[in-house]
Amino acid sequence: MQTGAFRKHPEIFVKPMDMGHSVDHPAEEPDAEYFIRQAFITDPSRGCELLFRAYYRDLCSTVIRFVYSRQVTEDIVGEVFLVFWNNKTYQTITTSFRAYLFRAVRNRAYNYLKFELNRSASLDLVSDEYEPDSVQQPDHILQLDELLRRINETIRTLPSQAQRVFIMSRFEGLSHAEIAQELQINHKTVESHITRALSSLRHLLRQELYLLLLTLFGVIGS
Amino acid sequence: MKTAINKALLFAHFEGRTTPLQIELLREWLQEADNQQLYYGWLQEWEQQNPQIISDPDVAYLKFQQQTAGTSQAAATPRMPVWKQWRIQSFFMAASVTALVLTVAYMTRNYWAMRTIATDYGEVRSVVLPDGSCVTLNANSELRLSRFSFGTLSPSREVFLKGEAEFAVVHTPTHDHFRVHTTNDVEVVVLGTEFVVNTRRNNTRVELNRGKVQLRYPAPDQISTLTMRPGDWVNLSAGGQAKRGRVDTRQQPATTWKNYEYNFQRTPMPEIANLLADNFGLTVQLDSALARRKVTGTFHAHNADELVQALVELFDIDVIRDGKTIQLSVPKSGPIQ
Repeated sequence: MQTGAFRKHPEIFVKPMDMGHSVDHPAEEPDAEYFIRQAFITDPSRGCELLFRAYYRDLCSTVIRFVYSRQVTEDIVGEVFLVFWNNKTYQTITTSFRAYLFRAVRNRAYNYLKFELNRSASLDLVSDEYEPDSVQQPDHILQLDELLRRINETIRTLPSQAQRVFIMSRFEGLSHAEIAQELQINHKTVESHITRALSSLRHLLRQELYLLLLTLFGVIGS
Repeated sequence: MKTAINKALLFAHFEGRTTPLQIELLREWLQEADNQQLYYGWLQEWEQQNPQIISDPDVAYLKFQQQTAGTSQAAATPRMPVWKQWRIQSFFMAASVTALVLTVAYMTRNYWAMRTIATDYGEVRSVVLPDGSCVTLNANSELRLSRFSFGTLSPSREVFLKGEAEFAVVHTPTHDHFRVHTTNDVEVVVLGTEFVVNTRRNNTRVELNRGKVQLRYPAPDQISTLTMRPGDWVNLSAGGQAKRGRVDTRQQPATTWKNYEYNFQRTPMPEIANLLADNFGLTVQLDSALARRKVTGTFHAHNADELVQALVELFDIDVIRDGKTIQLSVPKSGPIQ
């Protein structure tokens, strides 16, 4: 049995990430993190470094789809690792590290969006410091997927210049004046493009919050 | 696998290309904790193939190390939630304390914000208000005015009267109004003048000596206004009925009570009984014969006893006094005036 071999001779496999058999053999999937887990047992800081290097890039990629800002993305992923480290979550975790991290950054990104676009909603944030072994509501996972799809759509349906302005402002962190200079357009135009993009996102978020309330009441009602 | 969920479907889902039916399948599939693990595994794989951002883990890890170096592992409690909680808690505490203080202050405002001048039964007192106006309060009367704003803020010469008082209002350089509010919502607005206000028994009687005043009183469907000239008197009953007349110049002015004088002109006995009740706190019982009597004359009395004594001498009536209650009756056999 291959799995048993992993356990007995971990040193044979240099990079568990490269296994790539997860599709055909989902049951073996957790062992892709075997080394990282082992490292956490012997030297937590070494384990953390492995974990960080293994997932950082992909976590950033998933978060930026929500927040459209490099700086915010890096902050969110960094904070999730900090919480993971400070709470010693690696000692209590029962899911894979990957599931924990992806779930945490997605929730945190969602909270950030709600906070940024709809500050009054800051009190009903979804906790991103959940019990590591709890099973997540499928509804919540799918809701975040739907939100992502709609954010993507909202930004894609912006006029192309507005889209560029928005991405330059958020993604590349350029100031309004810099964008105006680079695109050779009026400062006022830049502002109106950004205002428009943000307001359509805000509108989207408000609908999402409404849906979230509905599902909450649905859960209580059922 | 039992279900139709595979990596291709999930990738299509991440790209936003799943149909509502497929999403329903996913919802069911995600009930399983193992499938959730798989979901995040495929999500990572998809992100690897579709990177959105070129980030540098080395730089980020250095930053992360700096952050963890600052916080020892022992200080495991995350700081954010703690100060968040503390802020929310202290906010609510501060808010409730403030609300309590404001409520208590509001409920007790008559004690701390209003200055009350009151006279006892049988006591007549003159007061000079902060603006220089002089008020003479008849017995058993009460005048309230704002401790802070009286005369300092512009429309603020406002007093609340229960009972009877004479006002000698001074005129201010800024033509500030002086308002007397009475118990039955009648308002006397003054520029500077001398007048008497009596608010006893749900009636308000205003008698103007000098100057000009305006009366405002609630009529059935609006606020009525009435301007008085010197020598006018106006009587307002609780129902909003106004009666107006000229003071008989031969008659004594309405404020003889200032000198402890009581001046009656064909005044019915029940009215005198009310006067005794209002000014001296006595309950007067009259028999039916006496209730029809009218009294004319001027009496000088510092207290109820003196006044009752004067009446007894006038009518030759029987008096039975029991504490605060006085029974007046016509003697059965004796001749009546």
